[in-house]
Amino acid sequence: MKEEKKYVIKPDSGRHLGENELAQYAEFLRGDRDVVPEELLLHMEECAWCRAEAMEVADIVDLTDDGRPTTDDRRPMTDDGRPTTNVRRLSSVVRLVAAIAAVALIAWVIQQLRPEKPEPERMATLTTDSTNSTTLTTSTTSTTSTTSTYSTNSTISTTSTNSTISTDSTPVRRKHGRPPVAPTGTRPDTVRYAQAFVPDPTLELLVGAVYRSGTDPKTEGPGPETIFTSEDTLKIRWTPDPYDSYRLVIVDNKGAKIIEVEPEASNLINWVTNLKPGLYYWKFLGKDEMWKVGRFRVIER
Amino acid sequence: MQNDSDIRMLREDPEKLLLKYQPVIRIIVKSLAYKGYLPKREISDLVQDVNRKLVERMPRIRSQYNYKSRFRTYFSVVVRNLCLEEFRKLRIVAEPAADLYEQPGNDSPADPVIIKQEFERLKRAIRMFYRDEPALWVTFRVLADLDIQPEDITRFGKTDIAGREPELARRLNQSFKKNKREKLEIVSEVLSELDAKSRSKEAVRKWFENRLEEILTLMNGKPPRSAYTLEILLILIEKAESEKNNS
Repeated sequence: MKEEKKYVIKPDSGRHLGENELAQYAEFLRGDRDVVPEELLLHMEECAWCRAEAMEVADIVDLTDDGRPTTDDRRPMTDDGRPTTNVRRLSSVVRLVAAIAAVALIAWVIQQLRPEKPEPERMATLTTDSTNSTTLTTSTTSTTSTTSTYSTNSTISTTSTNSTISTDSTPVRRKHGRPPVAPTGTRPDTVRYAQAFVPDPTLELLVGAVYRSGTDPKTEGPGPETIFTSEDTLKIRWTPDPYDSYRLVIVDNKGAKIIEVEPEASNLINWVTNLKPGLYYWKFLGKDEMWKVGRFRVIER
Repeated sequence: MQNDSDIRMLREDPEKLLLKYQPVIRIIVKSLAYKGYLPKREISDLVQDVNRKLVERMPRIRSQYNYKSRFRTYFSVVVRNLCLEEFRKLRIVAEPAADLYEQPGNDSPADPVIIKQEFERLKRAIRMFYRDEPALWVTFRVLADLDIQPEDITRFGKTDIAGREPELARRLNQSFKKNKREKLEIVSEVLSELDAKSRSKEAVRKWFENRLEEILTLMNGKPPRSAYTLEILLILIEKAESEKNNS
């Protein structure tokens, strides 16, 4: 670790990366290239302004990317754009020999990789029933059978005869003593757990927003950094307007409604947060207006 | 090969190249607009403006491109900077416009991809700190209660501690289930041994808080489009670790 400095982010202070260097460094960040000049790395380490620029540029290049560069695209260029490699100078005979050798090598590798035992027979059947739903059934003769149903109302259900998810399994590098969050063999679930905490940009804008209105009920609820465990109580209080009616709506981090809660008193809602771990938003609504939006997290007990 | 053809077009037929890159220009303009720089109705106008500027600037682009990156990447940077110039001229305030956002569906098929991308972005953010990268990863892993392996110490590239990697890793692993302050104290002790000079616990804490603040800013973007916290970053790291072990 080196001496810490306070960096002031200013676009015009000193020399920053130009468009060529930014492009080069963005490719390095994305893993498109393995090496960039040392001075570029050192500059990035020192310059917070360029770090912010590089991050944004890498994000933009992600959007415009049409796939990883080919080996040819990655080879270094001379200053006037000519490829430095001498592959093109190889004679056609040498190329032919190289091609034959490559084919032979690939064939040998495939031969080596072929399993000795035959794989269990896998079958797939596609059927359409009278309710206009299409069923794709895949089955393996030995142990498993999986059925996925796609119907016109876009629900996908999966059943499996041996797909029991064990929450006791521990990832290899996990320390002992702490319940594993991600059981082995449940790739979609492990992804979904983290997903449940990704903030929704639209709702984030509304969290803490101030509403100008004479009838603002002055809502008080949990702050944006509140963390609940399941069974904790979320409390909302407000100063009621007799002509308004109030309700609390809980939505998940994708904006999907989880539950709507009616007040138990004219100025109070106590709701037990019986929710899965994740990031949630609460919306306090009047008859015609949304009065306040808040955020909270639920974690495992 | 695509880069070769781009370079050829840049020299011989820049208009054709510009035509080829129309989707890229639109994507960049839209992405900046959706970040809140621009009202939606002005997107097509801006695409036209950017195209006009690009036609004017093509000779400059041709002379300034140094061939050290793919042309596509370089061109993306140029278009992005051009857009930002235009935004500044128009004095567009970086306030996200509410009507630009659409509520995502309940079960978007893109979600797993988003998580993967976000972890990739975190890796990029940390990578930019170059010599601090190994120390940052060790600190994040300790805070996430993930096992530190001798290889994590080897990444510091210190030859004078050769052979002591398992012992240092074990000391870091003793931080398990301790609170954040205690974890950072243990990290500071080990980092002091890995560093040429000793660092106080307070210095390490400040160093990490400073870095963390910037990493969160980098992850959240400007103007902010998400609200990452240390807790969410730790979950991302934890999940990525589990994925790695499972695969």
